[in-house]
Amino acid sequence: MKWIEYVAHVVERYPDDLALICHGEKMTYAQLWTAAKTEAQRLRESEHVRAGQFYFQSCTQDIAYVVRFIALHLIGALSDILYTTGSTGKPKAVLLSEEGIVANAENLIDAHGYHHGMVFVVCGPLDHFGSWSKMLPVFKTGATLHILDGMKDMEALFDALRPVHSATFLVPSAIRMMLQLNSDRLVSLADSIEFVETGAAPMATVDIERLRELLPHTRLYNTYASTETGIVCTYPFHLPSAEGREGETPKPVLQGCVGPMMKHAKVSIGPEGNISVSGPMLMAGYLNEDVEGNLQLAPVGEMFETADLGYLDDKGCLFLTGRSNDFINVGGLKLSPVEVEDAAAGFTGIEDCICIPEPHPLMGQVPKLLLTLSEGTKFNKRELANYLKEKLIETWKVPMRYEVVDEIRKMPNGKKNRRSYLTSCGGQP
Amino acid sequence: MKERIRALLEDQLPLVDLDSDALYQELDSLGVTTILMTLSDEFGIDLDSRDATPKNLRSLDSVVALVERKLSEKT
Repeated sequence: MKWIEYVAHVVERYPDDLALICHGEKMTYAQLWTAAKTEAQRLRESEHVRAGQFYFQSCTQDIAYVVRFIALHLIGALSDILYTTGSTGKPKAVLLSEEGIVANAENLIDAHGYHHGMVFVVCGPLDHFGSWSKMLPVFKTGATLHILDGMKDMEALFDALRPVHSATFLVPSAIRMMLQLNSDRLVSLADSIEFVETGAAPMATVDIERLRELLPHTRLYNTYASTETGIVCTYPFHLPSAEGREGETPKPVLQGCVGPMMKHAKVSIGPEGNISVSGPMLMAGYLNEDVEGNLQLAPVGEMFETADLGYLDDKGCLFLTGRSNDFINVGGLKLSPVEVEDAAAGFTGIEDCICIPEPHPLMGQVPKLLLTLSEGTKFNKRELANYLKEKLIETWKVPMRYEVVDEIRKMPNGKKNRRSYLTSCGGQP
Repeated sequence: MKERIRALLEDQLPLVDLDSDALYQELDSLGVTTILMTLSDEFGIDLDSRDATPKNLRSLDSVVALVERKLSEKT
């Protein structure tokens, strides 16, 4: 059964219940369905969209995006395409499969307990799998999706979480922002928030303990997932142990997620410690252009080897220990340092540069740019930051820190010696 | 006071134009939180999300006024 068919059942069963809240607008399931059918008709007639056809849609944080998302599922277009960070600095297009959509929805429902009558608040970017994936269980169960435009207006987030049976996904940096500035407000929501899910970055033990203390009745989950692998496992950290047996000493969660596999996921560990994942929730594959510019799907196969390192304990719980690539984890968003370096190379006066992670009290890591300048060049941090913003488009990719150095350390083969900086700057190797 | 706050925030937020009269619009959630935490630590005042209004963060002058108000409430 396709995901959209489950949604059709929900529409039939709960037509007058709220499906969506966004920017003050509200839509019932019946209204959402009608709007999606109208949009599907328009896409077929105006843009000639057909079943089985690749279709890229811009992701916007609004009702129009959700309507189009459902419309494209009604058509059967291959439109569940998300971009991920590529190790070469060029983003990669990931196509999700129909089977994967259902498996990811079921994994989340099964593990976190989504249900009709719940309000799930999304404040992260919908073009990020962590937030995007929540549409799947919400509309499959007849819950309500409340979309916020980021966390800048934190009061709006607190208001959104006020209904009983609310839930949300927050990256660790967002949780830290709440804990630092608004712990008293969180306490006032202790009886209404059913669960909080986090993931995408390591969460500090002190934040885990504080959240447990402030929200004693709330289920708390730390999930291991990615666009390529889908939802793999989750750690219920409101319980005293991963298995939840009373009286056990809590396990350390320094690297974030550990936990038993979800029902559709299987994990194996390679000889170098790399985590490989298999199961129906895996992506269909990467989309590439061939020499003539036509889109081709490079299928994922039965197993996907991630760049994450970890191990399985004797009970089958997954523990993460690090990553085998150089990505910088900026509050849950993965940044390729090469992308930043390539952009910076075009700035007048920069001879060489390297982008490295620097510890940050809120974001976990932020990018820092070390640079060497050609003789006689006067360095202006603000000009460079603005130049990089133009090139990189997304502000979270722009380094917050800059340092002019005498040289960029190299390895004997001439490549930048990233690992030497990770050690000296306290970044995660 | 104004130049002290400017120097602090310039260091933390290199992309933000502190001379803008639409400072709040320039900020994202990290920018807002960074301002509140930086000023809170530097001046020993309590700032939370209720202080992060478009009015309080409209310009560098309004940020200075917010800090001065919090300092006077403290004494």
